[in-house]
Amino acid sequence: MIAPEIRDQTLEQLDETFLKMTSPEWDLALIGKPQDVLTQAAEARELVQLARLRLGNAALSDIRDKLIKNEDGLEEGRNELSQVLDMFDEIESALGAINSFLNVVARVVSLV
Amino acid sequence: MSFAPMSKDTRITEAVFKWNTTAVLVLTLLSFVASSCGAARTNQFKQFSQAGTTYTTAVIDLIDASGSTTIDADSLELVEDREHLTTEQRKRIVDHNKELRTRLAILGDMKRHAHLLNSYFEVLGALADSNAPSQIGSAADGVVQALGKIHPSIQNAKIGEAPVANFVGDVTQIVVAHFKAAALEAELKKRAKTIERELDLQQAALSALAQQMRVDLQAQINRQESKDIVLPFVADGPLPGAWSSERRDLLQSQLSLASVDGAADAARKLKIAFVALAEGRFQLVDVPALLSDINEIVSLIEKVEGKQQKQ
Repeated sequence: MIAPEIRDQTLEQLDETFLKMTSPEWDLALIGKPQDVLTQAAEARELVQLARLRLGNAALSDIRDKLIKNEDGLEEGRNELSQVLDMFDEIESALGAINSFLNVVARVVSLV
Repeated sequence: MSFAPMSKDTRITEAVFKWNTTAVLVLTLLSFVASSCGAARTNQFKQFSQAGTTYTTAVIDLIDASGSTTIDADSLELVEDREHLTTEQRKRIVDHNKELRTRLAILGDMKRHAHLLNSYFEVLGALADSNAPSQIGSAADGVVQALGKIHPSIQNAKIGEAPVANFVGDVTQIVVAHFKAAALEAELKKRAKTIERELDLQQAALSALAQQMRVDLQAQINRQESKDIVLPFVADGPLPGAWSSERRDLLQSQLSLASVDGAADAARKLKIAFVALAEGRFQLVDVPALLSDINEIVSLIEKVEGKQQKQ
């Protein structure tokens, strides 16, 4: 496994190389070249793209793994905040229920 | 006519009555002042959580666009090179497919994570925006009124000259509002490191995605310029009928890759906003600028999707 810094620098260089190899200037340079040169150029570009995919996946995978490690804290925070909201709902419901009950009692008391 | 001097008991009762009324007035005034400060702080939480949900929603779409762009750039390269590759070399398409599937799986995990972050910001916003103080205050009012119907002494109870029934609702509202504000502050304190770390990772994720999108998109633009404009012009023979208009369209509608930089910057700005919130420096005037950066993500996605539709 290569160090992240070396991997990221290599990926940057691969990106630059890939852009050069997809540019109009590159295509112009290949005009009139023999088939074996064209084959080598095509293969080189294909391998550069494959390497980009691989190193890009390694870089994103690293970040993904760190994001996942942080999920417990986020879930805990979300759950605790939800509990506070639920508690407010329960208080309001309880007061509402008490209110309804007291109104019934008030009517009974007034009849006595 | 003579007047009897005030008895000691009467003087004491009068003094207590004056103190009670003053105390009630001072406490009520202090409560309203505290309530106003609490409301401003709660509003900061609300604004920050709104920025957070806007950001995560945009990131979820960006992740999808990133996957499509990567696949398209890879397909374009394979199609261009195919005629010059040998059969053995062409078989490497399975390696490309394998890497793309890996990429999509990673992006899937990142998208799921973004949904979790979104739900965190949503519930934070729900608490900050909660109408519970007012609703619970009204409910408490209702209880006092209902009690008053049962026994008039409750209805007529006073502190000083002020009927209790008049301010139970308001005081309850203030107490619940303070509890809500305290819950938000407690959450901020408890979760500060988690959120800071999260926003640092979001910066890294967005930078990596944005960089790869930039190269993939530029490669597609390069291929189009080569294939449709430059090579037909250099070759002998007549130009395609639409050559001039295609050249104009290509040169004028160059995909602005500045949106890529803006998108990558959004996570950094969101973190700055979070640190400001934690340190009590969050300014509501900063929110539009933050949302503008987040909108760069949306703008980039729209441009990518527009380009994909043309293809």
